Amino acid sequence: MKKVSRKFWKYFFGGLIVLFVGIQFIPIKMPVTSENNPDDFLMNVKMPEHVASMFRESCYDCHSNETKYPWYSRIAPSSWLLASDVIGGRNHVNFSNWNKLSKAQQIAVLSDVASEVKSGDMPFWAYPIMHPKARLSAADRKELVDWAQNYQNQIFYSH
Amino acid sequence: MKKLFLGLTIIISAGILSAFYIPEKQSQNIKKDSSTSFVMPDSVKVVVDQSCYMCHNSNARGDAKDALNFDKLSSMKGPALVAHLQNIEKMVKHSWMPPRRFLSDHPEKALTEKQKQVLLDWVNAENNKLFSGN
Ligand code: HEC
Ligand code: HEC
Repeated sequence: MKKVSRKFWKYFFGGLIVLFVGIQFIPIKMPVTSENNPDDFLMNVKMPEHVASMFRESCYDCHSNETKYPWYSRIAPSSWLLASDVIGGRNHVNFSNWNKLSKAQQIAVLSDVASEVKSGDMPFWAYPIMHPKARLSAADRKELVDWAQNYQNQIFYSH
Repeated sequence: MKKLFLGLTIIISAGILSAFYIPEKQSQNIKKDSSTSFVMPDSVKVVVDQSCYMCHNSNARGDAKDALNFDKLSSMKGPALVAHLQNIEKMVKHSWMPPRRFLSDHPEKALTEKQKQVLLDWVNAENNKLFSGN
């Protein structure tokens, strides 16, 4: 019995290594990045510096064109997960396109931002493990949520 | 060799499973507001009653009610109303509502193209009112 199970593990880890090496050859196209975004949210909206830095540190890798890819973005399968986060994140909210949104759309985005940050669903849970700077304290969350709610009013009542 | 394939199978399954780790969509919190800001036109009400209201009313349970409550919509105003109308537009435009799983049991509740247009035109009209009013 013992022999069988040792053999199993040998093949198991052998398989793991073969697979790991193998998947490195699967071509993958990471979402394109761009530093030149004239319609960008942080460039066009005045906000307290700390709020701006929270958006940049905690959200911009997945929700803007300015994704900064870490070293493990070159290694499968973490590259696949990252690509899917960035594609999914940008699809829902892309802060690089802020000025292209209507006022109604901007309000809806800020409303979603407030509820996602309040509930703790964003930034996406796995992200702060690799990006300690992205971690938000309870006070940070409150500051971000309050700002997002106030700014909805500003957009709405200033048109 | 057989064992190698068994190993590979296990790893590939684990890989596929890990692809489902993406966060679930979350419901939204609703801001209450006392002043009535609009009355839903009958043409819209018919569509909502047929395809949406049974999940999105004050007596419904869970995520659907938290995300959108048609009993409270008409008493919302300002940015909260704007955000809810935008969400309705998004869901209708992409045919994300009613949920597909629900439609497989109740195909008759699906929105026709005409009904979608009724909802979208209404959202558009409310938006124009909201952004030209005050
Ligand atoms: C690791 C990548 C990642 C980070 C970092 C991240 N997000 Fe997201 N975000 C996503 C993905 C992926 C989705 C789409 C989730 C889904 O499909 O439900 C998403 C969705 C959203 C949505 C849309 C929710 C909806 O209901 O449409 C909002 C709003 C949002 N994120 C805000 C934020 C904010 C604010 C931050 C920073 C505090 C942030 N996110 C950080 C990946 C990320
Ligand atoms: C079978 C029940 C059901 C029906 C019918 C239904 N919904 Fe929903 N709806 C839900 C649930 C559950 C949620 C919350 C979970 C989610 O977002 O998937 C939801 C969420 C929503 C949201 C919030 C989405 C967001 O991202 O915040 C909107 C807007 C919405 N529905 C609109 C509609 C409209 C419009 C109709 C009719 C055309 C409709 N729903 C019909 C169950 C339903």
